[in-house]
Amino acid sequence: MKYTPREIVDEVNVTPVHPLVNFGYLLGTVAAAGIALYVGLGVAAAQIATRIGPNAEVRVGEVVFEGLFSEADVIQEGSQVKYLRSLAESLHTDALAQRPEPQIYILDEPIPNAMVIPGGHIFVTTGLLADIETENELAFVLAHELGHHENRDTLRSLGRTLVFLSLNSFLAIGGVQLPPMLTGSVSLADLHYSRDQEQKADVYALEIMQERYGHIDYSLDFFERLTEYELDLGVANQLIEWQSTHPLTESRIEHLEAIAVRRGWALEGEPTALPDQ
Amino acid sequence: MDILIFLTLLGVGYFIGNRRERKHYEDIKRREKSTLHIPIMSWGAKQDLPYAHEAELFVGSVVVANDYFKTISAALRNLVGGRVTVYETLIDRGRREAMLRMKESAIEWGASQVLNVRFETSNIAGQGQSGAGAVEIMAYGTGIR
Amino acid sequence: MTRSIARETNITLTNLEGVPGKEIVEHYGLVQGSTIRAKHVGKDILAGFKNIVGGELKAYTELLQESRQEAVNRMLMQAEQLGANAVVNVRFATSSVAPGAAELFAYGTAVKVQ
Repeated sequence: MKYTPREIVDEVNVTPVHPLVNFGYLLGTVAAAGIALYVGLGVAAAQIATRIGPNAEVRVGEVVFEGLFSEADVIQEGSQVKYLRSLAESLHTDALAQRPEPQIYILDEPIPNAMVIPGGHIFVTTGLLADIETENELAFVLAHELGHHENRDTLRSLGRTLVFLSLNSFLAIGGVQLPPMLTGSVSLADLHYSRDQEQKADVYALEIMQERYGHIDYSLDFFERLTEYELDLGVANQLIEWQSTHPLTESRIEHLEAIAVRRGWALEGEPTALPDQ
Repeated sequence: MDILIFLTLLGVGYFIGNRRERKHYEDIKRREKSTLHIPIMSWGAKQDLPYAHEAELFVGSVVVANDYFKTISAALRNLVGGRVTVYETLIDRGRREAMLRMKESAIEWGASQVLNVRFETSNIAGQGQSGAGAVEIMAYGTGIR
Repeated sequence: MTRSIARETNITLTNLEGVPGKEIVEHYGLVQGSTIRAKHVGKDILAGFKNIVGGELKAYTELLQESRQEAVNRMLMQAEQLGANAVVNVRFATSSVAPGAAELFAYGTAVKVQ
């Protein structure tokens, strides 16, 4: 047999598609699917959160309480606790009556902080109590946490975390390797959601301050003191805010003062002193 | 910060990787043309070979890896499904390069044909299973003269 | 599937050294066809679950069958370009080139038989 050398000119083993076009198409598809999934899950989580009844929420709250605070120094009695409770009661709105009864505790912890968990358990640290100078500040902090509770933010966060964790588990079982940027961008989007919640709670609290005291002066003092501690990094501030769960203190204050001006709240007034401890 | 590094790597991968790939293809085509006169076959094990006096095994192999841009494209393609076009060029290049190396070493020895050519491809994993590994392709056959 | 794994074509495919009953009069060298495919993430997750109960991974079987078909078709395209009417000594190779992507490779020698 004879050999006839001929050249194969057509590149049959390579699909003639421009790499950038290919990349663009893939990125577009994944981004669209990702956004749809994220929004869908967010809505699903919120739906689950609002469907859980008050009894179930109280039980969930007990489990979280046990899990987080069984080992911690929780103060449930004493004159300080009584004062906090009566202050919190005076801040109740009508809508709050439909939620499980909020319970206030003091946490023996030097770092100033306040938090709320499902079931309406609100914690204020001894560090915070030592730091504040007027009743207005304390009332603002309590009202902010009550705002989270009334809006069911605790349940929403719980729902979202559960849903995202499940999705991660499914992907792990399937052995799917996500490109590194995907997980990063999901976290960023989630942080935006958290900052949104914080701002809503801030406005809620400020409204209660205006109603109770007739002005919002001194309520934000705590945050203004914080800004003196925080470094001013100029433009880098924006980058830091982008990656945190709370809006930056300075922008927080500015935003709230702008809202106060828009709604015609009084910016000046007399402070209310704390009772002697 | 992460995003900047990512985009830089992507850009470098795309521009430089593309250029190198085109250069490699030109090189491959040139060498294929110049070695076309020696036939290679995938048969040979059961034939009579009366004109063959000597035989020798020749192996050509190459390990190729993708640039960053293509790796990310492949990772995205893994989610969407379908033909992974970015790997097609990689494997095609690798295979033709391995075959050319085998052919060239056979021609240097003085072979008039290369028989019973076979291929082996294997995935060489990088450290951390992010798909950024390499692929080894080898071609082997018997040259006769 | 039709009588052969390739599309309708005049080219004979065998994995014998020649075509039985015919004689090889001319040969053109090696022809190859390859394709690399990935299945999308949904099927990957389902396959992951199959890992727990066991059994045939239908999705992956389909994927590889389609890919093999395409690889053979590409090899035939090369053979047509060379003017061959048969491809003998056809061999297949499957390999994993990246997590989630499989390469299907078919190669043989293009010849003219009479």
